[in-house]
Amino acid sequence: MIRRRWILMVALVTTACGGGDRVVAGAGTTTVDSGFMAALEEQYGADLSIVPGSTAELLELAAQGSLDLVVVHDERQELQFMANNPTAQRAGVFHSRFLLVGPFELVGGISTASAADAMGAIAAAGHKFVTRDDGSGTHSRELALWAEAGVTPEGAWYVATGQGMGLTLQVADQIGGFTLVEAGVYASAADTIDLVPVPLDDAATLANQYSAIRVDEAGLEFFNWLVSDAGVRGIVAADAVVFAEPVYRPGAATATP
Amino acid sequence: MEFLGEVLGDAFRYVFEFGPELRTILALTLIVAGLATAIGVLVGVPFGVWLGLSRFRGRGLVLALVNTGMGIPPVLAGLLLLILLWNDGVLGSWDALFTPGAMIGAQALLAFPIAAGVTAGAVRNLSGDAVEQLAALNVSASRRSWIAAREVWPGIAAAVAAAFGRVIAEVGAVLVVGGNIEGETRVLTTAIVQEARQSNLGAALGLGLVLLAVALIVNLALTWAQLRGEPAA
Repeated sequence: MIRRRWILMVALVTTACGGGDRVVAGAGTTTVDSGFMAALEEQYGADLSIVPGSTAELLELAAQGSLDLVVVHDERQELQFMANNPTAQRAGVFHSRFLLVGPFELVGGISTASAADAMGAIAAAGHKFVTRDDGSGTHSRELALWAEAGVTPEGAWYVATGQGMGLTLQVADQIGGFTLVEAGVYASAADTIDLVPVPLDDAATLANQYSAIRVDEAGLEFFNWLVSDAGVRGIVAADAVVFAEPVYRPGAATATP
Repeated sequence: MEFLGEVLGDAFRYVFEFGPELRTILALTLIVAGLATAIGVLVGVPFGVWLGLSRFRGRGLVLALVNTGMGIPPVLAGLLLLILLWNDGVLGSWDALFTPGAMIGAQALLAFPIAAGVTAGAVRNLSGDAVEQLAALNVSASRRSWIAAREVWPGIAAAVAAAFGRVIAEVGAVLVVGGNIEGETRVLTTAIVQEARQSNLGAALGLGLVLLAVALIVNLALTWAQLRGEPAA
């Protein structure tokens, strides 16, 4: 087994391009960091080359033709991409939700009426808020919530990491700040951090919709699988492998993804 | 304290289990860093010897460029190669993005100036007498370079060690052009990033220990070779 891997690698390296027939799929760092994409690949059964990245990064690589398919989560950027690439194909494939998390001792003092209210209260109180600041779907959603709250996020309390979700969550934990986190990453990291979710009344509105966008022919098979009944079963099974409680649910969060 | 002990325990368990994932990552790391160093050294050392021996206008500028190249941020080297390699790029037809080949290319770009710069420095440190004797030799220029290289070979060994140390420890270039694909382009440094992001601190630290062990073994071998060449005191 190992020897075969070595030979495979040497072959890859000596030809200097293993590009060939493989399917290169980009996926949001949240889905990769939580271990979900690897489990989904297992369910799919065929080899995929999964490149983690932010929605903005992946759509840029897809536009350059370097990815065959992407799984991303920012509707605005996705629609923009579809307008520029009419031959691409898009479908809502699964969804999770966002959590607003913060230090236990501060969460009690925060308004829980809505996510926007809570974030307004965080800004007003001058509590630290840690932002991805990386063009990811999570970052886009966070900015939309600030706009809803009527807050321009800037100042010493607003900490930008420019990193993926897992590292950003740990920064928030270490400096005792709030952050917007995808439920899957939070579930994977919950053992090692002290942050707790703000119990929001409108938690249901914080859906995190992932879409698959097929960029070229090579991505067709995986795309078709994702939207098929087998794909739906695969998503449920992969989720059960990774998480104790369901995080990623198949299909669209709302009637209109 | 309890937390630290737990992480350390996880780290050692991860290393000593030596599972298939770790073996794949280690093998790819050795292949990529090894080939990148080999390319960088094969091109950089002869260039360094030539640069150290020759005298021409603008040599100072070339030396300064090489020395600047020794400090080029890996992520910048990766970015340059990414722009060349992506499908619409100049080398897009190679279809090499997110492959070990692209990673070797990026790391070779990093290894070359180090191999050249350290070698040139060693050659320039030859005593004036040695240089005069070399110049007086009635042999071809390539023969003269070969003699100079043999004279400074501990310096060349240092160049190899420095180049290898640089590429095996860098994360920026391989992350950008490799994409950190599990089982394909994930090496020790990018695996550390991945595990740290997933809050698997024990595995991240374990991978770091493996990285240090590899660097130590390579440096021990090169240092031993250097010392053996030293005249007895």
